[in-house]
Amino acid sequence: MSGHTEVHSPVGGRVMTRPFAILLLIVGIGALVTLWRFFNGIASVSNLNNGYPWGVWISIDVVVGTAIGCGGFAIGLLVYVLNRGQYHHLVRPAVLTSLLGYGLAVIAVTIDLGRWWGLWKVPTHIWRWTHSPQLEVALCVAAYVMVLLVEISPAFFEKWKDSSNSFLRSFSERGLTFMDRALVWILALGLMLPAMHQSSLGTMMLLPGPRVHSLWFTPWLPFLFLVNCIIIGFAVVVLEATFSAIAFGRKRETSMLASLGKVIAGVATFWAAFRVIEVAVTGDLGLIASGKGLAFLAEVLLTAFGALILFSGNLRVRPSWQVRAAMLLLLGGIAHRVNTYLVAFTPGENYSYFPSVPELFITFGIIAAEVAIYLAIVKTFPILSGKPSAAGKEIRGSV
Amino acid sequence: MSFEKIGLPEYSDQGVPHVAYTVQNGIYYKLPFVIPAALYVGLAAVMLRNRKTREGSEGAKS
Repeated sequence: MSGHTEVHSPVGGRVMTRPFAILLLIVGIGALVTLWRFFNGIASVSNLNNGYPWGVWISIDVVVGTAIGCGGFAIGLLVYVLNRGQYHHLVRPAVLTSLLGYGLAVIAVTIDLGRWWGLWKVPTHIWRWTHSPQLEVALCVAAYVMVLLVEISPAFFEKWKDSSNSFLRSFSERGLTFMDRALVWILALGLMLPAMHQSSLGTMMLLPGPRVHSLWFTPWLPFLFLVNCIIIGFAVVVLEATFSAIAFGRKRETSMLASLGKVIAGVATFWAAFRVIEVAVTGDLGLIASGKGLAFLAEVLLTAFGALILFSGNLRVRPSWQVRAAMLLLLGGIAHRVNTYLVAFTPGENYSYFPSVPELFITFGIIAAEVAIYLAIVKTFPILSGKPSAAGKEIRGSV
Repeated sequence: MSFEKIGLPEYSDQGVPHVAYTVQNGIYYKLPFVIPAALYVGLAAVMLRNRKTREGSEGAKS
């Protein structure tokens, strides 16, 4: 663990900048609407109904949010299981993004629950829901948030071990020793839990049965969701590494991201090919000509084009193309999840759903909170790798 | 009158949650937590092996 202090360093600079204040304003509006929702009920702020009990909070904040939080899972698999130590620099920022993605997904679930005051019963009355994939998702996500907190804790301990407070100092030293000994067992949990609940997020959409369009309803949905979260995780790591390097004037990890791109291209091609072949084998390929076929084509083609860019040796090494490919993969991955949870789902002719403005305020508030917390933490704690350049010192003051 | 004509979905003889139930039961119920436990032990074993290899090669370099 000691090696981290040489590799990672806080960005520094003022936390309260103009963009940060704007983010706080969006968070504040979202928080006010959330309070209104808790006091006046879910119908007072959302367009959710008996046909569409899950709307944008679940499909975006939870299903997409946790996939965006899979950067830590994807990079962890690469670094610790496939032993690609060269990507180690990317682990800590990826784990922070995961923690924020999952932590805020937990908040989104709480907002979405009709009777949220009964949430405490989930871990204490397990026997009531043992056949439900939702129980698995709930317990796994909660446990994974704890594991991510432990995984990111060395960044806090490294900062606090030089603190003037003797309690913080000794606590941090003991914490770092514990992490050094237990790291492998914690990391194994950090890889097992997402594999379990990401696949269960796919299993959940097997429950509506024929209400889900045939292009998406397949027993392979848990597997597709698992591979899809790895693609989204990798794409987020590329985007996060590139944009944080630009925003904080740090050295770009272009060659490392190019090499990572080869791995992503392979996984994304496999996913897109599997998706098309599976639909073809079940005899549903003709449904592409239907209205919802466009949504299917969008998720497959976005993923395939992203992979195609990364297969090209010339394009893969250029930062602008790395970002384009990552954006395509991210959009393709998100499209698959939103399609499965919203577009492909038809509860009946008498139901319709489009998110209301207050619903969107809550979602924007959650996203803004994620970005604001990320900025505050990377400025204060050793998360990002490399030292800032001279130009970066000027830039970071404004972000 | 058939259910489809009044706008209800077309159902087969199989229960709607049959597929999800089979998948979930296979992993967590028939063999209680054997698959997740095996995955956990397998991941930890691979990482321990990688760590020992890395420490061995770092020791040889120094």
